[in-house]
Amino acid sequence: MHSSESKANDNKETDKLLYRLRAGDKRAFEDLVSRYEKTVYRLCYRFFYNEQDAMDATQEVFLKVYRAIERFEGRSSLKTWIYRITANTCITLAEKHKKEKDGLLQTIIHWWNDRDQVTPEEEVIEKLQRKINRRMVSNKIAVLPENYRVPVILKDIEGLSIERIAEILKVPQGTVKSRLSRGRRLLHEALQAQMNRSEE
Amino acid sequence: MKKCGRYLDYMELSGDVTCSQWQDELLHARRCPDCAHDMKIRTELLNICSKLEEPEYPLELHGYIMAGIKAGSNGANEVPSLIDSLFDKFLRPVEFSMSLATIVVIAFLLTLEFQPAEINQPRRSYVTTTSEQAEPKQNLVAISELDEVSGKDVQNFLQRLAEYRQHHPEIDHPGPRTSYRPPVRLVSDGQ
Repeated sequence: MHSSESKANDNKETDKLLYRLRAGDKRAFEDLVSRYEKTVYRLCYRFFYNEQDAMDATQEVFLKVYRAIERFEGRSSLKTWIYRITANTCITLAEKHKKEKDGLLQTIIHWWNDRDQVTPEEEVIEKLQRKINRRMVSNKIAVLPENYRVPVILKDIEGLSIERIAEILKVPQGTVKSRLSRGRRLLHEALQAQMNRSEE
Repeated sequence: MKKCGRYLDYMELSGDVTCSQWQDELLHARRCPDCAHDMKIRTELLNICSKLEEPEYPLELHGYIMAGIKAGSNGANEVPSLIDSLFDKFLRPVEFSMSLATIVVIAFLLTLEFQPAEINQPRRSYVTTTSEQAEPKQNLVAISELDEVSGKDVQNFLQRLAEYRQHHPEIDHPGPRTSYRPPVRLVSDGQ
């Protein structure tokens, strides 16, 4: 009862916000940013596991929202629409980063930075614990292929339903399920490999 | 020895599984150490994912987003007004022709040779001679009367010049310049 009431209030707020945006109220967009910036940033951060990339992606997402808000027809909820833009932006930016990192020099820099991420003390702790930890999981999620990364983040971290993820990604529910399973399997294997390495 | 992957394969199917199928898998996982290990990792993994902490939100996040929107909207989405576009259409040829004219003028000025004007002002010494003071007046008279000089005047002048040469032979045979001493009138002489 309580959740349905809050959902109704949330919808009312969103409708008001959309009305103000369509009426050309300049403050309305800033209110929209304030309302969704944390959600968008959180998704971007999970995706990249890097503050600067997450900030750039968040900025890009809201710029796209700003340019497209007039064309928003309300077929899905505003939040779902923003989630969709976030997912697509993250995938596009990740592909762009991948192309930029194709050079040999970039590969060396990336390898060197990765090498620095785990300090000797942390390595010792990891060896002592010999189990998966949050940092490890976040790192491995951030290197999953983009198509699998988004469903894993939305389902296993954000806790969205398969139906909602399908709506966000505009793909059938079966596709979401298979991508999710494949993503989890890849994540599982990557963690297993990491644990085996730390045991050696 | 090859690791058993039955549990992971089964999880990846993720289709509509019946209760009995699920029970069979759980029974297998209990007996198979590889699958038991996988099941443990998977459970732990999903547990960690669901409890991942929220990231720290940068303080400048809101400002960063709004700055990006401001920059993006100023650049791409700004539509010029009708007056602006008309002014632009008219001013562009004027601007172009002005620039061209300036370049032509500069090019023309560069082709001209620079010739400094000759300054023929007589140098004045600090000591003024009486003859020097008198000469300019005589010259001025002669120049102003040039138009009215007749043949008779010329003959008279030549006759006077010959007489002057006779009285002053040093004109034709000038001595060393150092011996020349002009009559000097000091300022205190008149007092």
